Amino acid sequence: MSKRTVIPFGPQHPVLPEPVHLDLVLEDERVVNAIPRIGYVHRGLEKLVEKRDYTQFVYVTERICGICSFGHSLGYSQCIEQLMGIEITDRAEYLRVIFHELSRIHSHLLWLGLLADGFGFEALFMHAWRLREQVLDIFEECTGGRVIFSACDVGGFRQEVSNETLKGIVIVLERLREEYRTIAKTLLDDSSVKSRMVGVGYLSHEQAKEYSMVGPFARASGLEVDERLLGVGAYGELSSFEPILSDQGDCYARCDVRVKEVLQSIDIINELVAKIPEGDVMVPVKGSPEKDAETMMTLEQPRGQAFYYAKGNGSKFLARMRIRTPTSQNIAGMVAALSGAELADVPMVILTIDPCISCTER
Amino acid sequence: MSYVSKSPWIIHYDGSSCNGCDIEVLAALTPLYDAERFGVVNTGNPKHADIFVVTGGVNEQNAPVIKQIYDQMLEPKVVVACGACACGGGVYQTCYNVLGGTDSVIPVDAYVPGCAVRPESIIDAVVAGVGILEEKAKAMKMNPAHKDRSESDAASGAHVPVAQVDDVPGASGAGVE
Amino acid sequence: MRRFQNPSFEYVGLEDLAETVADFKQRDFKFVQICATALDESCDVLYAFVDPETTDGSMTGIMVNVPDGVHVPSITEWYPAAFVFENETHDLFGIQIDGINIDFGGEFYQVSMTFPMNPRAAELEQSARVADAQEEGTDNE
Repeated sequence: MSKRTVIPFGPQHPVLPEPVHLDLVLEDERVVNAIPRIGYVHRGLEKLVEKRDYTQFVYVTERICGICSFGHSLGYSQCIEQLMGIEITDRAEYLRVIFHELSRIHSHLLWLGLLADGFGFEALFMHAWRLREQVLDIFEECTGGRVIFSACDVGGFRQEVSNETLKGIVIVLERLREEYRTIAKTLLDDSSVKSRMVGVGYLSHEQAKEYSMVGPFARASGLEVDERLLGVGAYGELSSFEPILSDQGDCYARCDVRVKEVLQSIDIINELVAKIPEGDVMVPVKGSPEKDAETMMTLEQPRGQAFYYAKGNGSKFLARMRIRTPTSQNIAGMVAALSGAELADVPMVILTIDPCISCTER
Repeated sequence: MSYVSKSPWIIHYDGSSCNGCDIEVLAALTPLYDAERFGVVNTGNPKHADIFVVTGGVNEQNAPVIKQIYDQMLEPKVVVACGACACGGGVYQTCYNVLGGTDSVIPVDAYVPGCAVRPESIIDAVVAGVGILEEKAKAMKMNPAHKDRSESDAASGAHVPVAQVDDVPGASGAGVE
Repeated sequence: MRRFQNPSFEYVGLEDLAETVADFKQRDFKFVQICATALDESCDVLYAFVDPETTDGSMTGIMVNVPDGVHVPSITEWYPAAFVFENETHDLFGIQIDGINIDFGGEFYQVSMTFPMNPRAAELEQSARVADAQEEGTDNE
């Protein structure tokens, strides 16, 4: 048996935009075990419900994570609406899904860029981020913010977005789709990119199920998990929705699934913009959650299923707010994917689960 | 400043930020804002970097990490605190695990406001940082024995330059790493 | 338009927890998460699962009431992904969980105070520490 070495990885590491620490146990160049160490970003946001009332807390949830900020405000608002039985207008439901899918495009483009940077293809990184700016421009035009834009609130959608603007969004996205195809072609067909990803960090369907994985990470192993299938909100109005799956289970498959999800999101937005009903976007919210009323719900974030649990205490302040984000569910899967990988492939494996550490630790 | 005397290399560390400022720091380097035209390069090595860009507040666990990255950087160095949380804790100020802004562990030279901070302001701050860097370099040249060190550095005794320890009569090298 | 999900909550005694979870695993339930809530006298721990047989994907919540100082069995035997949440529940709420597959022993989160989400447990821990220190003091004498 060869000698075992432990190599520390992170928290400050060139491929990691966020701090996470791993102790990699190596046998020669092969990882036999990885022990994750998190907590560098832990702030204790769940405790803040005691100091912020339920209408203020939506701004705190947005700041759990700057990449999935819209998703978190959406999940929190839906959770409180479910708790208090508030029915928001149809137009607001449509706008929420349109903006949620826009954030999915921005998140996936960001990730594709980071992935390209991870294997040293800097031009591709720059191009992916250049395209992403077009989505951020849409956010800025509609709401005023680039990454955190406080558009979603309990009771609906804060900003009225006119039908003309929505049609403009579709035009921008159609242009983006054409440019995006070139990037996608490089990512999926280029032989040097492929040689870095094919067969790396393989996880089987059974393992994905065993580790209860979520999001594109699970879908790349052929597990059909997608909260959008539940058809809550405007997702139920789509004529058809099929999650994108792959049965390869390696880094390449995870990249493939996300590349295709961008195109799928553009299709969803196109369909919803064509169907969006007229009407108000906000309903007035009165009262506060009842004592001991509790509810939970899930939502498909760019990184997978997110979970929200809220419990009222009869006043404007909630007794408990719990947010479980997709990456915390995927940590077990990441550890499994790492064992057996080459040391040089470790950054690729970590990047392809699309870790969002500030989400995980809150 | 009519010209940039140096191409500043930056090292970026995400404190307990929400990623919003983080991705804006990266966005400032990518084609639309293109800070690379000023020669700004994002490096992963503290020893190569001139400017330390910190996003997010400081918490119990990352305080030593920030301190260590700062200590590993060579003089002269500049610290830029990006975003409301790095400046003073921001929305998380009252959270139990947040100690405060970046200045609660290391001295900060430039504060950038915004939640999330905009890429334009980051570029402004980095360019301002180059000016500070220049002043610090000048001060070092005037008096090589005296490095521009902060009070907190001196108080904790970390990273005392050897030259200075030798100046003190009877110093037995305490505080030298 | 379907606006809400309709989760169901089920109260289960602590002694039946392992059995219930084993049964869920056999029936192919999908594990979602674990979270704790600090109450006045005790803690509630919520285990969320999705039943694969429901058509609308609604969640089933298993609520377990845990009095102070009582140990909870780990469910990582059936659902290995639960280790993240069990370590977190211990570090933030001070609930002792036995038999976690990757047990960080209270070092998962380094927080500035003991059990921040549950001040009562922090007090207990503090008084236990003081008692330990006093005992040690008498041993030395």
